[in-house]
Amino acid sequence: MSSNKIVLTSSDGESFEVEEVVARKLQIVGHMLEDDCVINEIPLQNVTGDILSMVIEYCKTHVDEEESEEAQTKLKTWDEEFMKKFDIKTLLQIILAANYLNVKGLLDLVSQTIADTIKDYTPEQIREVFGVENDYTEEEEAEVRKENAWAFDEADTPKP
Amino acid sequence: MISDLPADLLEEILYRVPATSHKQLRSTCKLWNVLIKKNRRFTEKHFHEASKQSAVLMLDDRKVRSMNVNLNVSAPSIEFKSALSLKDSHSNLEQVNIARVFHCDGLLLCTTKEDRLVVWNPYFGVTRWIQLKSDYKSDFTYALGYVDNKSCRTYKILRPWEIPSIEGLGLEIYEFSSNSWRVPLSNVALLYTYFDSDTGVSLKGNTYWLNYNSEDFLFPFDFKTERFKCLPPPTWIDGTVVLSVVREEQLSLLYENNRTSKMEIWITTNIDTEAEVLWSKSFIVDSEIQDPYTYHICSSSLIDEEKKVVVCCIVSSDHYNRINRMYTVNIIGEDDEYYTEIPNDESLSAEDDKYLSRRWPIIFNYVPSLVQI
Repeated sequence: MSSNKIVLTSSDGESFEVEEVVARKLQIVGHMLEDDCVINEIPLQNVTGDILSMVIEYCKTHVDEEESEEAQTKLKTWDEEFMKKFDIKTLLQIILAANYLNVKGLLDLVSQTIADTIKDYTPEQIREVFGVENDYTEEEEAEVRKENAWAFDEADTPKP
Repeated sequence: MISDLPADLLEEILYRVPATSHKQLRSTCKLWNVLIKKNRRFTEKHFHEASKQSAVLMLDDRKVRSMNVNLNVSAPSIEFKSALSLKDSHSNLEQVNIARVFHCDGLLLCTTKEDRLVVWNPYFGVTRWIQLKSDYKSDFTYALGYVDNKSCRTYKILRPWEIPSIEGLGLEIYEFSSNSWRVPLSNVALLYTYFDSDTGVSLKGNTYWLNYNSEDFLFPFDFKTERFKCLPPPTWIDGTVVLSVVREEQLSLLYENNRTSKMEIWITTNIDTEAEVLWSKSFIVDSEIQDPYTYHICSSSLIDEEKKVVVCCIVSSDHYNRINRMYTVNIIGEDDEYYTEIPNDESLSAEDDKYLSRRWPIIFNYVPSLVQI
């Protein structure tokens, strides 16, 4: 792979110069490079600089995905630590970016992290984070809760 | 705040949430409720991707209740929770009395005290009552299993019954797809044994029964070929054996030696109804029961092979009157950690005593699923 540099520009005008192999981890960029191989500056309209820098950090780390078990374990640990840096709102920004830029590994990682985070949320917290409106009437909501009469609350929380 | 998360991204997140947390998700809004409850693609993805968070259930006193079991070595604990509600829309009874329960893939196959049969997904609160033929008697054994086809999973119920004249078992199978009972091609199995439904467990769709009073020991029933196999025990058995499932992946045996208070835990290393079943001894715990003949291990246990801990029910019984007086649920660790919890000290009525003399409480791991029945 050549060590050409590519400049990625975010919607708010921030520019990042990265190796072509790193830029290709963003499949949206990969496709553009295949279509026309003389691009060296790519504007990315749907992602802001702060989020793009995180996506690039992920791609840099995952640029050589070695098969060995040791390398995989190391990457997994890095992924976990990386995800710990973000709150739920940032994670939702990253998932949108990963989807737009088409970075499959990051999309899976962030989806799982969000799922693990919201599993302990109340319906009110989930609505707030996802901006979802409660369209149930009181009776309907009670009915859904009753259907789900399964008392799982705190089922897996160890006692202090 | 993200109100414009595309539907496919939302799905990508939600199917990874374990079913134990779906209550909150479904209460969030109508769209999410429909997605989780009615979308077949979502159910499939959830089955393959979401972590299998299991809960512990117990059948006791004709009700299924959930338990919080904490196996943390420093402070093990057990908390008994309220009963899960199973209702019969055709009856005025507040709560159906459950005599037996068989767990498979998040579904509970229950025989009621009135000898009716129902498949119940307690997670969705959905039931399906199974029509029984008029010649069916009480005391029949039933097992729930499934076959994975390309597009979907088909569920079946097996009913084996003893035919002494041919020293074998007669077989009948209920198909969910046609709502009817039928006789399989190999309609009898020449196994001179009889199973108690309480000893059967389900793993990957197939049922495994135990009978340690016969020369053969483990009897897998493959729901695909609709045949039984007979397998030998992993070790010389001179005592009580309890079969259970570990992490929905392997079988485990709790073997209590009649002459000591030691309990050996064996776990399968390879399980395949086509090939052989291989066992290895995992660890040993001490039940600290001084006189093993006055006690029984209940027909159920939970094994945590990583923490090397056993959760089991020990029933103290009066052999002369064939009555089980009381039981304890115990957490027993490899290194002499011993914790006892007595769940229910309410005195039993005479009728209950008679009833309970055959039925011990059963504890089992339950992994909720989104299966529609």
